[in-house]
Amino acid sequence: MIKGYVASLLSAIFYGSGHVMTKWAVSGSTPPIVGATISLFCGVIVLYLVGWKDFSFGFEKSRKALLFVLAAGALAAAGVVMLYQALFIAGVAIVSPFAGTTPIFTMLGSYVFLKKIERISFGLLVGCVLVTVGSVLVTVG
Amino acid sequence: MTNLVRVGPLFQSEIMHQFSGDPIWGMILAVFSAMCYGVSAVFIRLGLRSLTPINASILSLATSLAVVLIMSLILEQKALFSISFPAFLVFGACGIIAFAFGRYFNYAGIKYVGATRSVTLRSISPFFATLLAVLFLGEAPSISVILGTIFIVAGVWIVVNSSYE
Repeated sequence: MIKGYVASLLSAIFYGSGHVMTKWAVSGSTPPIVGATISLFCGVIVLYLVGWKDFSFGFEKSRKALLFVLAAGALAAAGVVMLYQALFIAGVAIVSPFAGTTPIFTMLGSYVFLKKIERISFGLLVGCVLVTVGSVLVTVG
Repeated sequence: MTNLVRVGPLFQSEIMHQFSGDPIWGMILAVFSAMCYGVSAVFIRLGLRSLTPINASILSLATSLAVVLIMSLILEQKALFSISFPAFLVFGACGIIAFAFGRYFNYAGIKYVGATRSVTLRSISPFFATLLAVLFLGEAPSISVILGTIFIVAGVWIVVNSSYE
């Protein structure tokens, strides 16, 4: 459990730092979609260099799992493009509060698709809403 | 493909021309972006039942790259191949920090504590940015930031202590 919480917090730190840089970078003359392409390209290369020893396609284990991961990648790509475009159109102050609502959608998705794996307890629901509202307040503040 | 490449920049510029004056499109796109990220985390949870976080991160990043590269070639081919070196470095650094490490740790978190918990904890990233600004830039936190911080701390405490199944 602790491993998972530490990983999630590290993820928050890396995403946070990356987004601060992205917000600054998309204000330049490079089109957002091109910026996203370069970012993803460098991300894939570095992650593959770091993890190539442990990398395997995993087809043999479950084709279904692989399809879910590929679908997740495509959805994340759509998310990146829309976020970059939104930042380009409306700016950080307007976009950030709306972009910060991701946990609410994850919770709804978990409720619909992960009924057998994850249970949404009342505590988790309250915590999720508090963190989302708190993040929006911090962002607009 | 050639036609698409020719039409691409026109299509893009028309969209930008229509959208740039109206921030409502920025809000709508931001909500759809959040929706995509949210559902993506759920799908990853399903995929991580069989795959390791490093495998899932590399595969999902490669898929994201393929989708975005195709869109980029269609919409902004010229800009893609004429990007300046400093811009490449800045966007590359963003990608290494947010996509390589951010996504890997995000998936590791999803694997061990579940999608909702991990994504909720990940969403406290603005708190770290504000903390850095207060500590190193001497910025005074506003009432909204203080209130938001209290909400985040309370929310994280509840999430960590709520029963896990």
